[in-house]
Amino acid sequence: MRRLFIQDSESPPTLSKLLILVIGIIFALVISDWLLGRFLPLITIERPFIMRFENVPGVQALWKYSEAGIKPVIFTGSSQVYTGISPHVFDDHLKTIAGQDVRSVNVSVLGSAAIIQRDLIKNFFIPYHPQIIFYGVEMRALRWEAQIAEGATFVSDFRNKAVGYAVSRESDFERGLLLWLLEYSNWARYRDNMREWLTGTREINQGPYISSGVDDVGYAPFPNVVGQDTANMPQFIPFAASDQTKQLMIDIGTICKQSSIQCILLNMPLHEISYQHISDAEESQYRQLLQDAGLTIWDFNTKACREALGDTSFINMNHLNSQGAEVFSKMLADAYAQAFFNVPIKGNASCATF
Amino acid sequence: MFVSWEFWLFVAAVLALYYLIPGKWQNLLLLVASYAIYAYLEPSFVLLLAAMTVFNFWVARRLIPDMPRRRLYFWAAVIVNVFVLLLFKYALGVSSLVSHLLSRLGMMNEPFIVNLLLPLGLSFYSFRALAYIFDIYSRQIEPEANLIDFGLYIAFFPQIVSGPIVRPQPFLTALNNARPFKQEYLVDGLTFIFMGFFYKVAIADPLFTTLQSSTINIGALTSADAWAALILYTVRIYADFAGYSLLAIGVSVWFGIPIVENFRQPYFSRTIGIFWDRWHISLSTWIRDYTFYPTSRFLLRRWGNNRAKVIQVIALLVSMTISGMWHGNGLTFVVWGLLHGVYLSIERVFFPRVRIKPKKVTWRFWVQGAIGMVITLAAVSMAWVFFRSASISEALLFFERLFSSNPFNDITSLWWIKVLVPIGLLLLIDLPQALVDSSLFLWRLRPVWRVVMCTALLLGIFIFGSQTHAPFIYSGF
Repeated sequence: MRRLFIQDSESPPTLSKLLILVIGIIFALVISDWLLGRFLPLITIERPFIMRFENVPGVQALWKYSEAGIKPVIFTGSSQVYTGISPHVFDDHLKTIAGQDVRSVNVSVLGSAAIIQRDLIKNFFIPYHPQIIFYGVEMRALRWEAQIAEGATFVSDFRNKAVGYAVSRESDFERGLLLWLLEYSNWARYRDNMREWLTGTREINQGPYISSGVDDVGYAPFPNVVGQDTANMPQFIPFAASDQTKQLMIDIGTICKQSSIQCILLNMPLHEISYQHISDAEESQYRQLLQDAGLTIWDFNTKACREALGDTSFINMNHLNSQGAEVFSKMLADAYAQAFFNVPIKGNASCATF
Repeated sequence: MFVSWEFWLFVAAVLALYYLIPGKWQNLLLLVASYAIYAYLEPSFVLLLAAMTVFNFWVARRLIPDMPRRRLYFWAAVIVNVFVLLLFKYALGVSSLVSHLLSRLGMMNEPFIVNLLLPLGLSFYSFRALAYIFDIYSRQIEPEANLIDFGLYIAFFPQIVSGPIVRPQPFLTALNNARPFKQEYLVDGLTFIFMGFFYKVAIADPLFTTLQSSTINIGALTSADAWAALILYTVRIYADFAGYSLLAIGVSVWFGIPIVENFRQPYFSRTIGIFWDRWHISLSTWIRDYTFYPTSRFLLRRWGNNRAKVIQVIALLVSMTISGMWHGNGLTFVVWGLLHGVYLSIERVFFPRVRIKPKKVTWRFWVQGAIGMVITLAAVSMAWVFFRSASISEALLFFERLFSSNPFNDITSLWWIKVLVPIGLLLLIDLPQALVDSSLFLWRLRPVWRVVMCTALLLGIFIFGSQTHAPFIYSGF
């Protein structure tokens, strides 16, 4: 038995033996990675835990489109975009009104502040050469406090997971290697799942990884409940533009312009009730920050749009419910059709300013 | 030190230069590199390190036979080295105790506390210096003529923070010769470093996070939680320190400098005596040679052979208590050392033949060995409770939680995973290492199994490793 594993004679290790060993290890890693891809579906229904809060399907859809040679439209932002824009509704409506086959994905991050979006746009989306990147912005994502204080939890949560860690790397080589591994290696994708199983943190197929509410292109509908809750208001105000946030917006604008990928800022709609709390001065400073990016702005937070969406579209002061998300996704498709396929706007998307 | 990429860049640069320059400059380069690293890690105490080096170098030259006042110099050297160690290590503990006693006697109202920071690596380099003094005084070696070589013996950077506590003779002998590049150095060093990273990153670091919760509120621990903490700390302290030692050994091997093996699968020991032959070998042999043997000889001269067993027990208790005190200034470390002294004394007095391996190994030996291993592991694990606790009362509370209820009532499948996976990872290295009986066991495996083993170790590092590392436990000593 011992002889099965152990050599009889001992010869000194040399560099050539080391080289052979390294080649053998690479071969073993490739084979085991392939086997893991076959084995994992037999034991788990979990998605790879590479981003927090279940927005993994959007990333996987982006990879899938990229693999198929499709250049998708990317919607990104915070929870407002995550729950407010349905790529399927957008694609279908666009097909209906413009006869165009467009594929879109929603790769949003809950609690995403501009500091997260800058990394995602620069290091994750642009390298896939999407058709257009829509960055859905809201006032709270541009508060400096969102990047360093209460929002820092979200920033650290994001960076502690694989995609966030990879896109926040300074070194091009390190970042490129990590992202490549995440896209193509089962070991890399499922590392955090396995780590949690094997450290006794949780059981397989338990916990928040079983994406119940997210569809295959990264949209997570809220229930169709109507509400005007303003509990999130402290995340919005008091609002004051800071030099750091201004710089972040300038960075995002510069990154997009240098890449030749068109980025459009979507000023996401809020419920009218928000403006009982947000002052004109705060709103004006926020809008100035949007201008500072130097990008095209599609403003869906006009009074006309808030009225067009109405009370029934919102679940609270800043999130659309599923009905609202459907209406808003169609409005976006209408606006898109007009902007890129010269189809005149017929619906209520004319409420927006472009 | 070993977990920052800056350190490895530095090592790579020094290593390249080391093999490019003429052999006669190699020691100087290593000395400069060692002081550069020490100054980076502990700028406040570089001068202390240099002063201790110069003092020991100077005094050792007065210890050669026929020198006048040799004995006086010897004791001066011992007292200075021990005093510096005690001063930094025990100033806080002693001053707390004295002020507490004085205030109880009504002689002092304001407590005085002297809180000196412990210079990095002091416990290790002062023991290296003492070994040098002892060996010269006992005429085992000649005093080193070259201050650079001696300075390197004291401050060699892979070993300065947490050892191993190398002995002067093999180290200084190696420094006398130029060390040209050899492929074995590179491959062997890399192998040690790879295994060291596995111990540290795949086993010890994840357990740091797991174990943190068990130290916050000990009173709230269930019996099952306490047992998990006991088992996992036993795994962690071994993986952490063995990992550190392998990293230190690996880097030393790269420079062609011999270094002692510091761990040899200690948890497979059949007896406590064998455990101490395999655990922190550089310290346990130091304690054996410089405290146990001298104490035994001293008592034998006084009492004669008739009281051999009593002498052994006293020498063991003294030696192990010193070993405990070396680790830290708390009473918990004293109890830990004393407990091991008691274990060893029981073994020597009641089971003197238990360590002897019979010429013909039968099934009876294996059964006895397995039982002995379980008992030894249990005794060692229980002693770690004192080692880990901040106070005796905390340790006793932990024992109370251990036996507060039937642990099996609270054990879940997750408990088993939490406990068994780290043990499995540890066995992944220790089992083949024990079977092959070589620390470089990877190169004794058949090529296919070597690839499988290295891939498994690499995946272990990848899956369990994280961006942040827990501090090495022994760097605190």
